[in-house]
Amino acid sequence: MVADVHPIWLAQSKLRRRRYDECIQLCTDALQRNPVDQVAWYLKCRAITLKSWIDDTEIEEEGVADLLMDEHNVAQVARPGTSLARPMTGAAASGQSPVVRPMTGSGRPLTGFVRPGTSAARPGTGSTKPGTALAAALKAARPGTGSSSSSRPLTTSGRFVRLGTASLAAAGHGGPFIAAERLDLRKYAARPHLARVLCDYILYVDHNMQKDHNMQKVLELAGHATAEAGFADWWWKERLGKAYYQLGLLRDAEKQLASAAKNQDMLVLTHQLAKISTRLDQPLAALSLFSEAAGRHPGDIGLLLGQARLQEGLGNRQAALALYHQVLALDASNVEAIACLAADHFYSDQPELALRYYRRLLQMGVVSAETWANLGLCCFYAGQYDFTFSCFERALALAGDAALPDIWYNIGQVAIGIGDLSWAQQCFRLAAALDPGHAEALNNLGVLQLKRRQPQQAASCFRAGMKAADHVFELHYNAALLAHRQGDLQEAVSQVKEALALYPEHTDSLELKKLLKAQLNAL
Amino acid sequence: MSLFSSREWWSTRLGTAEEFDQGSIAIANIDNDTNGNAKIITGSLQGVLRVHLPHQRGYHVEDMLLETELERSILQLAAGNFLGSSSICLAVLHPRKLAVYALQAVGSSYLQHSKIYEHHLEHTAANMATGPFGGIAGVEHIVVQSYDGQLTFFEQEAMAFSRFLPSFLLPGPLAYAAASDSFITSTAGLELVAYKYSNLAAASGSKEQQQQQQQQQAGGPPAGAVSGKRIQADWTVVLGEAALDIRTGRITANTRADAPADILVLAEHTFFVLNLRGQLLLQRRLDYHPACCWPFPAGPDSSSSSSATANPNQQQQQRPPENLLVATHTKALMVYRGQELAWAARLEMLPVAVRVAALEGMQGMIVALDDTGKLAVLYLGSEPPKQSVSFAESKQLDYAAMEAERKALLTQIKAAGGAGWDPAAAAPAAAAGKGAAAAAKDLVLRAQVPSRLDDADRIVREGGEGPPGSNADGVAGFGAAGGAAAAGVKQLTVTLLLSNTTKSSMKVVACYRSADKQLQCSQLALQLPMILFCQVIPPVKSAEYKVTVATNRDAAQLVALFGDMLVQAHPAHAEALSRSQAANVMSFHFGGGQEVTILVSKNAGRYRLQADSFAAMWLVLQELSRRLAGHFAAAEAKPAAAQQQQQPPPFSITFDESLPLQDVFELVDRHFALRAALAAANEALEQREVQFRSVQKRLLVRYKDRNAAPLNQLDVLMEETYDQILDLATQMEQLQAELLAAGQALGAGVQLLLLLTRFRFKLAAEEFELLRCALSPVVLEGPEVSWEETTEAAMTHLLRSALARSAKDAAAAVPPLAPAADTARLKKHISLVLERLSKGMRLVAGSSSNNGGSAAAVAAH
Repeated sequence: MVADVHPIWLAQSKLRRRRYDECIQLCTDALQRNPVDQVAWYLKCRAITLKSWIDDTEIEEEGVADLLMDEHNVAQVARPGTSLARPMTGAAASGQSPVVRPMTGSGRPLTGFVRPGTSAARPGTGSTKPGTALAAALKAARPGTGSSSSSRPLTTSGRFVRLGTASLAAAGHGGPFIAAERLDLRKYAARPHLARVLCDYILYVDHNMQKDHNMQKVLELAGHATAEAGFADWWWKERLGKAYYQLGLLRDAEKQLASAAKNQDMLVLTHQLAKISTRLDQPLAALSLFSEAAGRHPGDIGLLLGQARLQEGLGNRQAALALYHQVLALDASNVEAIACLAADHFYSDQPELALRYYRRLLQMGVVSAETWANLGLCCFYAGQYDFTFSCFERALALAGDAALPDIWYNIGQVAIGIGDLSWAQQCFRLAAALDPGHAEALNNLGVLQLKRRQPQQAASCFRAGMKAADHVFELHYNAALLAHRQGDLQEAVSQVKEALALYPEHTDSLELKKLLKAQLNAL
Repeated sequence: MSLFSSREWWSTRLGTAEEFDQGSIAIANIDNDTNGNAKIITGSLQGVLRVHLPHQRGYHVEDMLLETELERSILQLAAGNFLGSSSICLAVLHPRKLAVYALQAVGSSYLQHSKIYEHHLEHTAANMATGPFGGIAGVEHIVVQSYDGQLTFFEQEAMAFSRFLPSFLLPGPLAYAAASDSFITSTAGLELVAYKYSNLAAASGSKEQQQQQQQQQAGGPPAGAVSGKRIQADWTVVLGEAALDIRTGRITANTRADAPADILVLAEHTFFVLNLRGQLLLQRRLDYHPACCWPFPAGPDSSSSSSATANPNQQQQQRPPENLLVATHTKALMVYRGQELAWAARLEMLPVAVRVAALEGMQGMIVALDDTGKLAVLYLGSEPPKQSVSFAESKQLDYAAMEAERKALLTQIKAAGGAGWDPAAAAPAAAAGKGAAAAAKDLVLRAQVPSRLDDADRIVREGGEGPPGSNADGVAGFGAAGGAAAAGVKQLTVTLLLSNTTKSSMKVVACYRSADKQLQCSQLALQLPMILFCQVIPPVKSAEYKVTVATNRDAAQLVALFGDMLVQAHPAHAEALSRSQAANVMSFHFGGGQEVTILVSKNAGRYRLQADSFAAMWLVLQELSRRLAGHFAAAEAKPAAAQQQQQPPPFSITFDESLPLQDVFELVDRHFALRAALAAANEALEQREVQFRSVQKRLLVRYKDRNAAPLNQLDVLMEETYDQILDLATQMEQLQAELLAAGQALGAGVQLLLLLTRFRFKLAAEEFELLRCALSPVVLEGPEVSWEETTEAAMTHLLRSALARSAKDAAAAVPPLAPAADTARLKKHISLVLERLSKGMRLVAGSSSNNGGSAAAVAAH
């Protein structure tokens, strides 16, 4: 058909059109005819790499192994407002109180947009209860628990490995395309145009060897190539940084990236550097990196979003909001900004505004169970009762296993709102049955049991909730209240202390504590 | 993700199974029409050249002006002034040929193409760029990049010169920036390189041929110029990503109006803008995969319409910054104004090339071409996409029906046990009703014991939802479970084989899943019929052991008491017994061979049990006491109700002789001795095994050895040991069986002792239970600790707690549970417990203090 078109031309064209499999096929044929065809080798290498490319500037979830072997011991108890592990502690923290806005598992305020790493707790070095960190990490990692709160990849950058293996199976017919351990990397480093694609290939694709070994290969290649380029090539330094990061040598990575940034001011480098700072739990450093870069690149959305995420994580609500508004001014269809603004409006008691944002999301084509559930809640709180249930119906129809518990939990909230406690209980039960670790549902279920005068069941609900998650202060407060009512002052005191540890300004807990103190003194 | 979707104004499909790429489209007034209408020119890889001119909305046949086959693949099209005569003509790049065509209108609806000139290419071509190279005016030249890195320049009909690019591997996109008169391309090393035209042209003119020759002989790409003036890159920037497309245009807003054009590079994940000196002005990381881009003049000022779009860098005076159109692989069309995303629209296709052109007098139409040959003219409508959200409830809601459905569902939920909190149900009556409903759901277990034994011992269990009180009598207990709830009754027949006869009662536990998948469990205690254990035989005289109990009533008739036993008895004897209603003697024969006889003394209401085995008596005694109690209770219930007689003292059985402790102790000793024997046998077996294994090891070593030593009678030893092991094992099996029997006898003996204790000391039911727990009739064999040890511990506990005489007793330390050396302590403790019981101490605190109280009262008198 395309008789006289050069196969390499066609392969290049296919590569440009992202038809990787056809491109790989063409190159394989060419390589069969001429095994030392550099061009075909180059194109095939690129195609395989692009197939399994992932954007690694986003902060990824840390594997359990990473957490266990983490030896970057930064301050155990960070100063207020300087750590993502201790959010809402800064003087500038203007976040909403946890009574109004629920918390994620890590104790950060719930954000409107789920990214890797936002949902799961980062039981890092600065966690308040050092003993529980490991347990929490392992709890999240246990496969098959049906826990909707993301399960952690077991190994370091487990996602990397999984992606790699999938594409390799498709690409290689019996054996990988390039056996990096057999190559003379020094020779390749001297050939700049082959070296770069080879480096990317090892970095993104070649995961069949052990990962550390793999990264060492990258380091070797990049080290030779940097020397070859006279230590002036930012790209090789960035690759060095990336490899160091993967190996967990964060400080070395930082050094390389900073040096690369001196060579050429690239956005990628800023993102990578900020990622390292975040990983080291130095959000303020990451913030300043972002804001400096934003000064040099005015109007860059990625930098603004990076700042906004960090501010939100630190609990600086106003700052995050302003940044999200800036993002929207630049890119009116940025889903993340819209979702975060909507969530904020919802939690600051403006369901009508949140409703508009969510409707916009829906019109933009973000049709998901979560959107519908949020719409339903907004409708309910905005008084548009006639839409509420059709929204929830759609949400239920769209929802997968991960979203269902939360949707039932929200329906239960609505049921409480309209006073149908029996229905509410059924909803919470469903939520708890679908996700046995749904602490909020268990808490509400416990409160309802309490209303039915079944303190035993209520107590067991609270206990189950506390076992499932340790970030919900309501559970502790309710358990304390129950214990107090039953006369178990000891238990009440310990629970109220737990609640206050999670949320030091909770008025009811403080009052209960005062009351308990008075009673104990009277004794 | 975008709020709007693009609207299609005109579209057509080009050929079938043809392929198109980035360079396969050009838009220009190619036939030099006087009204300046731009035409869409497309060329496929299959070599078909087409020209379209959309006239109105929707495709019409007359929109196609030309369709011709050029026999060679068309890699790229370019329209421009390639003749110098101010008329636009078309350059077509084939793999090995560059041709320039002029297109003329024939009539109103056809075009005709005529080849003006063509160049054969020595090397396979990759792509080309056009422009006024060297700053000449009025004409455009063409440069073709080949697969081995040769740039060949053509000035109209003449080939000007060709140069090899240094360090070349693969051709990247090629663009010409007029303002700096340089060529920009991306290399295989993911860099962006600019070459000045002047530098290229001046590079070693004479030696170049030579160099070229050399390289052709070598057959490899050139590694830079060998000598003379080298081709040198104007600047190099490492992008780190491969460029998809390179364009020139003015994107940055804050530059001066007369600033030269920027270089726009669409890379795989980032969009870069560089100035002509190779400095990065702007980077934008893309969160999608871009497909192609096209800069176009924005704003109302677009008087320079068609030619500007064909070659946007030609006129740059006083134009506002251009917008950039990017099509993505997520089927979206983005319009960027500087850093800002001005518009985003959904797209129906996945284009490989987009252009913006004025068509049919309409400015800013977007022309998109995808790689399967769909050509579309689009505009950015402001209408939101069709699948919008509507909540319209079309049908009228039937609230009554909904309410009825809800009620039905609620009852279902309630019935399934998942009833939530219903305020109405909080009322006690409703709660009681609910409780009843819950109770009705439980499984009803009924055990029916056949009045006549089948060939195998069988107990029938029925499961079902029958009401608890229904009396089902069926043949051998297999009847229906009761009339009321016959529906859904399922009968389950379970055969139970009994091995341990130390208990006359058993427990049936049923675990089942209810309809709502919850595991439930129900149990039933069951009195086993006496008939299971023994038979009535003609009276025998074997009186090795005797027990006499007395009652406070007249003697009952044995035949009446044990009527059910007669059924199974030998017919002749049964007849004899039933004839003589007043028989005062009855013998039972147990399955194990023991015989027990009951003798009744008619006047005194005394019963004597005699047997050849001590242990066998307990069952008969228990049955007797149970039956007597039942008999008198039934006999007295009627007259008591009818005649209001004075109540006689309640029926009781007494035992006045001394407790047969010695007999029990014999059983204990026998059990203990057997245990000891078993332990000894076990130890012996262990030793033999060790011996056996070491002999084996030695043998193995010898066999493995190359120069084996003589066996030295090891084989004899091994055989001997083996025989011993077998003997010991058989012996152990025997011992185990005997131990089991002894354990059962012990259990039975303890039962008897317990019963007699109860009769003798008139223990209340509660007390009896306590004693029963302490002096357990259940003999559980353990490897180290068995009945003796646990019972001794229990006795010690009793002596320390309930039966303690002084505080000293209570303070005695409890030794840990350990294997006992002998049974002396146990015997002592048992007798001590019974002695204290005989002295009036009681196990239950309440009753003893009661006694004490009355005693005190007596003393006060």
